[in-house]
Amino acid sequence: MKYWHYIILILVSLGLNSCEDPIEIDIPDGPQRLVVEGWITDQFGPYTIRLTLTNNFNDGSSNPIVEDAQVIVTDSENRFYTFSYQSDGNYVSDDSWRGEPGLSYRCQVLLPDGTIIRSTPELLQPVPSLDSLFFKEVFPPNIIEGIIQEEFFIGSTIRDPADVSNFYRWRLSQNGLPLTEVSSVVIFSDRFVNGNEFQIEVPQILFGRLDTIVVRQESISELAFDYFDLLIAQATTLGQSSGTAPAVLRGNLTNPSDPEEIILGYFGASAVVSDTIIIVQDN
Amino acid sequence: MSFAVPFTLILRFIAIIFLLSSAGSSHAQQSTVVIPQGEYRISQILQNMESSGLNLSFSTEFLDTNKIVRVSETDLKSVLSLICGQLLDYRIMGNDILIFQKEIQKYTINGFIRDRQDGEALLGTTIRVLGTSIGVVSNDYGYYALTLLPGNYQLAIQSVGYNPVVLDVDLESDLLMDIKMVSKQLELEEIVVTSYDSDHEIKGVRTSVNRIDMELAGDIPYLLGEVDIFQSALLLPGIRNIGEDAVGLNVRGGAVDENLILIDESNLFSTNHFYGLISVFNPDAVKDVTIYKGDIPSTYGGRVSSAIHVRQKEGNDQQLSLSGGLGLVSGRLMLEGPIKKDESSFLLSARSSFFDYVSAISGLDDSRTNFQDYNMKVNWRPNNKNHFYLSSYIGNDNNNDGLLINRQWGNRTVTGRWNHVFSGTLFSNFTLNYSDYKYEVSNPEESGQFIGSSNVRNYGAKSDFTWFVSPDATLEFGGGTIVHRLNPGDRLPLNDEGFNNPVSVDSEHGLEPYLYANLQQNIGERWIMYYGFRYSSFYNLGPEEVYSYASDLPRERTNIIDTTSFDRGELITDFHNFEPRVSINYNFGAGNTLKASYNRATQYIHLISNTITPAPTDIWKLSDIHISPSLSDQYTLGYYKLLPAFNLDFFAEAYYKSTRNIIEYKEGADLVLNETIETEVLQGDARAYGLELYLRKKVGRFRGWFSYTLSKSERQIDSPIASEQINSGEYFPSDFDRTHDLSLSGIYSISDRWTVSSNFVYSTGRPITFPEGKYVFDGIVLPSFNNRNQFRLTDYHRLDISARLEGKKTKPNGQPKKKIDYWTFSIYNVYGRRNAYSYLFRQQENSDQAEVVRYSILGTLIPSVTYNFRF
Repeated sequence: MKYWHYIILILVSLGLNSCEDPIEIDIPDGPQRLVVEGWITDQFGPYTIRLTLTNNFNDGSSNPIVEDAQVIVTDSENRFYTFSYQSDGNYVSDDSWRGEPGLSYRCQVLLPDGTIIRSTPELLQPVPSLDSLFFKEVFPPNIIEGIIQEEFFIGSTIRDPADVSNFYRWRLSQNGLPLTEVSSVVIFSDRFVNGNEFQIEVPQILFGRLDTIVVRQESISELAFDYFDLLIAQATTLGQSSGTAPAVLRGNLTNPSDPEEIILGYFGASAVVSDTIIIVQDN
Repeated sequence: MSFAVPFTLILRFIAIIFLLSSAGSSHAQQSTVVIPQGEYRISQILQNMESSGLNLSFSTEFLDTNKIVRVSETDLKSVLSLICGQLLDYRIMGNDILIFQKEIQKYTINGFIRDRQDGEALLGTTIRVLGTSIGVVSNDYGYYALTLLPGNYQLAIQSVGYNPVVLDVDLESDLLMDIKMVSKQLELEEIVVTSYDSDHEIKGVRTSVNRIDMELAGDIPYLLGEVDIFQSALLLPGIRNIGEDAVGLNVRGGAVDENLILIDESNLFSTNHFYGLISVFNPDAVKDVTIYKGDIPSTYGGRVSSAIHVRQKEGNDQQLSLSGGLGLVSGRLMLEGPIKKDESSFLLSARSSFFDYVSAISGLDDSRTNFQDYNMKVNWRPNNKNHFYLSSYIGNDNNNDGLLINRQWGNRTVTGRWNHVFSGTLFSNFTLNYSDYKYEVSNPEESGQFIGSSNVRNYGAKSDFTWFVSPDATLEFGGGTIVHRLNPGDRLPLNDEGFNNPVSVDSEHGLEPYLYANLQQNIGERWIMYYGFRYSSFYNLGPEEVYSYASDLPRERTNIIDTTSFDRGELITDFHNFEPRVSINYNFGAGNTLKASYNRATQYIHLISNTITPAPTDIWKLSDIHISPSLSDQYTLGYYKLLPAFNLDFFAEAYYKSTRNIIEYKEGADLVLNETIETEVLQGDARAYGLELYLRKKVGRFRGWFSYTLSKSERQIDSPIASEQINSGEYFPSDFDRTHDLSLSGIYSISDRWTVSSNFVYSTGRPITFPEGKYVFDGIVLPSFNNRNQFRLTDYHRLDISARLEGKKTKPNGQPKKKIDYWTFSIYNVYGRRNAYSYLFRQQENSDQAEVVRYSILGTLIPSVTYNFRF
């Protein structure tokens, strides 16, 4: 009887593991699209807005950059801030100003060929405080080759204000190193918890004992939330049967004289709070 | 020839008018001698009468003037009686004599056709009068009626999978005759069956219909050894799915939600377990599966692509029987038997997965996935005029992610039916049914606890009538109503403790009444016509809050300009559609038939999915102010050929189908608890056309079929608003477009214990979207997509084999065993081809480079073993 059980186990695991093989396929060149990436916060700058172009998916070299553009950011009180070209497609502001909660910001790019690209105005919303980070040990623990893995994940209690819809993003760093993989993009909203003190846990990012984790909590707009939501889906679930279908990942940038043109990337505005937690036993 | 019927009718009509107008007029000469005694041709007698001043009216249609009669009584009346014989009559008015056909009492033979072993009703059985072209087909409930002149007849009865029966009938009065047939399966020892039978030869079968022969289907290889109706259907021409773990079927280039899938007349909204690997139909409990791909009878409606009707077994009314099986995935057990022999029976069947093998797929050891199916049916036949059925299906899928979240979903249906025979020729069926699909997700964790649920419910009532007007005409008509109630979603805290707020989306209400009629008429010996229609309406009813959007702007939440509240039962909007359905068959002899059909269908409920294949969380949506009903027009032309000498049948069918108002999701659509689901969908047109070839050998030591489809399926989402276009409003290949699709199945009986079989399938790779470039955002390498489905995966092909070993049929002492059992051994994907399910375009791990990864779901050979038994 015991053998029988093993046979099933073997057959089943043999047969039904989906497999992934890297392959070489020809992907024709598509049109080169402009990618804009920039963020204003309520912390002092300098802020960076980066302009790059798409290249072939199989191209091993880094993306082409746009050098001779003019980049400015305006706020809803008609002030404007210039960004000057530094290097590697980065346009940098001076550090004399910072974003103010309650104001909207939009960026405008004048490309070398005279095309103007604009973002929609992004409201810089206040962000609720972050002061009660906690960690939990994964239970039951994973066992790899007979060794019990000691793994932890973090979370926090957040007091959500009732009067507005809030959208949150966490950027994490582990022992001083920012986590940049798509799996580390953490977003959540107050859709089901508006006005409540709620708990958020991030069980998909695992840490070890004595890790120091800095959480940067940012307020983002609904549009930015939707953008990241689709970005995560496109970068992680694509192609799987339960995954989303490939789609244009539109941000908030357009060419007003050709609204159909696809401009990639996002220009956003956030208020930021941070907190640090060290994983030591007896939380 | 073709004037014969109307001409006789006219003549008879004139005669009646004439008779009425001259009723009571003068009496004719009485006892004049017309002709001396002796033998004459009738024509001689008539000539003689006319020369003596009598005016005769008659038609040579019914009076054979060459016939020789012997005159013994010589008076006029006697001579006329002699001429008229049994079938004719005469009237004398002055000098005018009218000879006309007698109104002869015809009699009706009627009854049910059943399996002798278990009493199952056999639908689609032909009853033919030998030596004539007269015949009828039993209706969906196995009932037939044949009206004939009195006399002696030989009736030939043929049903697929059964031995033909020939009965001698002496028809002198109405005759109630239930016919019992013997399954060929019981005579497996004599494998070579000489008599031909074929779906296509059977009179009255429509174009583009496939019946899955459960016996044949039981013999081919399956994934994990589970006999599966959908996997079997995929081997037929024109039926595809997206990939190996895809939910649902794509029939002739249509979407998954465009199939009306019925189990005993109740709707199924979810058709697969294990995320698509296995369909919900427990093969033990299934009697018959009919797939209408093109010429959908007007009885069926509400979906634009096809109708798939799965009928559950009625339960053996002769003897108690226990059957079951054990495979790698599930165990099955079924008990059926008479409650009162020949009068009532029951069937209870259960199937359950017993191994959480999806944990092996996902690598999440803590996750739990399992499913169950329950089928139940009872029927009661108190007398020959009434038959009651109650049947039910309950399906259940469960998934726990190993952390906390528990998901549960499934279909429930209940069908009650009453078949009543009004008179010999008028049969009726009354149905009440209920169908419910429910999805539930719960998180019991203390602070974050909630329960989310959504469901789709249908309540249906309908009546169907079959009127066997004459052997040449059968009229089916009826009507009914479906009440739709959709609850797109609630997310409620389990108690006051947690931090979640309750969220719920307005439910949707609809009423779908319909009427239908369909006349099947044989014209002469060669033509069969079907003409019918379905008239369907749809009323979208309150209570509901309906948003209005600025007409020249994209339909987005930010462009809502007004909100209208509708009260309970208040009409929001309505639709009415006339759906003609016509089919013409021409039999040009020697087993050759040509068929052409036109079919229109409407759909008022749509599945909205933002994933590649439907997920249990997907949302059903009724047609409303914003979402128009889908409407399809399909034209089919087919040629059918029978080669009885080789036991072969063949068909070729070409089709063109265009569908208006199909549904596509917007890019990045968010469907969960969305109050304004209309902002996430787009509507457009679809067109599909193709050629299907099918060759089958159904009997003999070697059986099998070959099926090939050449087809195209495209969609177009166009709009004056650029953001509501897909691929700039141009036609693009649908996800289920396959240029070539071929399958080959063979079954060979080596001995009376060993049977081997094999499937080979090949198809063009499915359309897929390649990135037009890549870029970096936030340090993440991302593919940049634009136009959908402009490239294809590599071609798909696979070989499966299986062997079946029947247990010994006799005991050591030579007595036949009561228990029948068999083992099935199968290997899926014998040469372990890693067929691409899709390509993943992603960032390489720990690198800033992009990579393309071929993703295969069942990329190795998968052996399995199953054991089945029956007591």
